[in-house]
Amino acid sequence: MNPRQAKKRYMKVFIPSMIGYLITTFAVSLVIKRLDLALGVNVALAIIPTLFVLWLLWGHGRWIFETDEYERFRQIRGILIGVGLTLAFTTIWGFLEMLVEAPKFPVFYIILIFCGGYSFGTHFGGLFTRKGVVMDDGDIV
Amino acid sequence: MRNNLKALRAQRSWSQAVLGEHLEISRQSVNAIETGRYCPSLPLAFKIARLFDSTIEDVFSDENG
Repeated sequence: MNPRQAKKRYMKVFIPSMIGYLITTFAVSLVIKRLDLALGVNVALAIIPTLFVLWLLWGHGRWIFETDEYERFRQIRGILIGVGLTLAFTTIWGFLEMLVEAPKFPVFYIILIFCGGYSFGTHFGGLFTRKGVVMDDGDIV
Repeated sequence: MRNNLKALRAQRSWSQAVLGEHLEISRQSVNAIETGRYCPSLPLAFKIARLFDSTIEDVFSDENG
């Protein structure tokens, strides 16, 4: 499969999953706030939007495997940088919460930190690897 | 790694996009290989060499070679 076909397949998951996520997030928030439903029903409703996120993550992972090797290299480098930044932030904030009673950081937003780091790493990761900050040119294989 | 992919491509008057189609990789990937920002895997290096009826050594050389 060439990268263009892989991207097309990815977009067939990306667009409906994002639309589904947005619609269900607003709908579920509205229903849970306005209706007095049983806890079990609320839990089931709250999980619905996350199913669209899981679908998107599956499509994204499939795309990484199906695209060409250079794009895969860029994406994996981005994921590594995203994970590194997320772990750095959560470790520092975790210590602040534990030792100096910093406000609780909502778990919901951790994925946003990861996505920001992932995007940064995908687009600018080359700056670290090419200049020998992380590794020499010869190591990028 | 050095390579003469750009010269080989020019001999056939191929754009990076056309070469990418032959190799089933993106234009950006061709550019990254040509400019030395990315070293291709061995299977891709073989594919490139075969496309130009060459050997891997004809297309790629290490910094000392």
